[in-house]
Amino acid sequence: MSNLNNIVTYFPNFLKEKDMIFYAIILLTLLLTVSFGTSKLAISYQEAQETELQIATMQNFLNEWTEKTKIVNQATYRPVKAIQIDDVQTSILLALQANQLDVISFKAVTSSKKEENSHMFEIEFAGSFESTIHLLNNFHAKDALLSIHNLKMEPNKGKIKTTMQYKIYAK
Amino acid sequence: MISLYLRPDKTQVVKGQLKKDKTLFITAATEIQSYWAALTEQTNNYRKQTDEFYDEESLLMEDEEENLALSDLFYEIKSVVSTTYEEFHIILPDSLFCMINCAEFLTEEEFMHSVRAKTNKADEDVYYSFPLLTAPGGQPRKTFFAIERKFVNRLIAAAKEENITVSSIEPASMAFIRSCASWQEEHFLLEIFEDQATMVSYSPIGGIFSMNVPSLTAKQLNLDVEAANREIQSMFAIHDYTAEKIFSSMNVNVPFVILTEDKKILEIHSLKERSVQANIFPSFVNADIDSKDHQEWMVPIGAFLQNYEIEDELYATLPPFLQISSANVLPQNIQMGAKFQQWKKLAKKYSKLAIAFLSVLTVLDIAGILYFSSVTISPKLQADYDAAQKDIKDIDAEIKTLAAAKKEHEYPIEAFTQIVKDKPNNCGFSSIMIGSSGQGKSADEKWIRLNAVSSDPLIFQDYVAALSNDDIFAGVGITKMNTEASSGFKTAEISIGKGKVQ
Repeated sequence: MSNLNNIVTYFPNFLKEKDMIFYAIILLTLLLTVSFGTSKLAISYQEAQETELQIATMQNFLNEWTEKTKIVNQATYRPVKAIQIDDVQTSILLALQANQLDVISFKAVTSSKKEENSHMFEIEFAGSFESTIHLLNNFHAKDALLSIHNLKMEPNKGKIKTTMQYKIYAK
Repeated sequence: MISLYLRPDKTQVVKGQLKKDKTLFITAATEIQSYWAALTEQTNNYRKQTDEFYDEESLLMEDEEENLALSDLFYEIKSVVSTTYEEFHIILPDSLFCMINCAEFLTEEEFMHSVRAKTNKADEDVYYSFPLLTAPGGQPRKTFFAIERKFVNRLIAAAKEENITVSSIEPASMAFIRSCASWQEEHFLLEIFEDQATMVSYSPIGGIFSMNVPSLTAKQLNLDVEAANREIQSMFAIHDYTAEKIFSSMNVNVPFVILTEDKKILEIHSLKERSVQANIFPSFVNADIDSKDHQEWMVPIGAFLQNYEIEDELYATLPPFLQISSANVLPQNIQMGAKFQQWKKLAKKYSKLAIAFLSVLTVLDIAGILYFSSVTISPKLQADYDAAQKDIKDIDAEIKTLAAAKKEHEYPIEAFTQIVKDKPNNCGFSSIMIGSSGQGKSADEKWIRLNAVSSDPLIFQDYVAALSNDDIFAGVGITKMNTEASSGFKTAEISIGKGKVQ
């Protein structure tokens, strides 16, 4: 309390001292600078936190992307482009021919479900049992992704008649 | 705080710190050479001794020279203790005061008249203070100290040259009595120096008065012991008579505190007989000084106690009829000026600290802003992320397609191989159908449908048993059995569900 009284008593004298006014101006300037700097620091800190969070999210996404890319690249067979489907069919027909199997019929099957990335086909062929098994064992066309959906085998006039539905998967 | 006791034989320098709990910590206590001559002599012999070129011009500058010599005192103190931001208290021997006395309440005019009459000094030549006001029986009495202004002015000017502001100038007796902290008791002091001796007496009911006793100086007492004994007894008698008259009542033969450097004097019989046991510091003074030396330092330490308030332990024994204040002889305006200078120094000190602190904060703020601003997404990461974003839909779609293909594949080769392997002899097929046009669970339950042909129907049971033992099959059963009319062969339709395929 007495210190406060002293400050009040001597305050007018301080106002007459140039050096004290100089100190007061510097102090005031520094106080303003620190106030401004601290608020700016708080904003920068907040922005940095948000950026770091964003970086972490991006890095997680890239890690996930790398994992998924690895899965795709490691696959032996992959979906083909739509324009390559005819080439795949050609390869299958050539394989039938190479195995001395006679093609009885061939048609595209329209699915009741809307499947943009796959195309179903049905093929009927006949030939020896060995040729049929050989074909089925090596049923692929380069690295195109195929799946046999349905297979029916029955004897017909000393041969094996096979009816097969298969899908070619497209990108 | 720093206190200086300017004695004729030496200068005592003490540095102390008053804590918030009102404990006084003495951080340094030392002695330097005496500056008595520089303070008291009209001409400055101190400088003349070393100045080879002391001429007429220098004589004209005598006063200034004198201050310069005294300023050496403050210069020397700076080399002994740190003086930055410290209050300076100066104590002078009582012999330097032209008047120390107490009397029934006087107005200022009456007091000045008394000083003029006794000292032959003009009003403007003295500074004075009224440290004690006592009124034991309702009759107020004032104690006053008066000193020639020239001594005070010399000290203030010299201190100013070294940028030091003096806060107080007090007589040694008042500082000593204060440091005894026993106000209800009488204190008689005898200050003996080589060429000065003063008796100072304090009574709580009377006040303080002093007597200069030139016959009891160290020089006189050392001349002849017998004569000294007689002189001492005579002076004590005069003192007691005077005290009795001034104080109106006092205890008989109260012992004296003898303050002297000359230990030989203390062995003089009549002095020894009347001397009191050495005093020690009050409990609230904390100093690393041997208790047998306490009395020697009580004067400079007593000056610090001016800063204590009336409710502090220092004044615990103060009689209710006694009012004590500082014996500081500095005029009010100089005291105010000194206090202001002290506040200014403190304000500067804390301003500098605040400026340093705020500057560090500013630098830290800038460093922080620069650091946090540097946290950005690198262009490479952004480019990779953008490319991956574009790519991810295709990859997700491809992965979905791969999973769908795996799920939709009916594994005809694996199934056919096992069917043939499990087939018993004497059994053939008329047709095999692998895969289902059904959906979900029903598709798996009707994975394979085969028509087996055999002459023996029991063969079918063996076949079903063999198929059932295979892990890749499940729910194997005969759904229909017929006999062909033309050949008599038995035909069986066997339904097989999907087991653990890959």
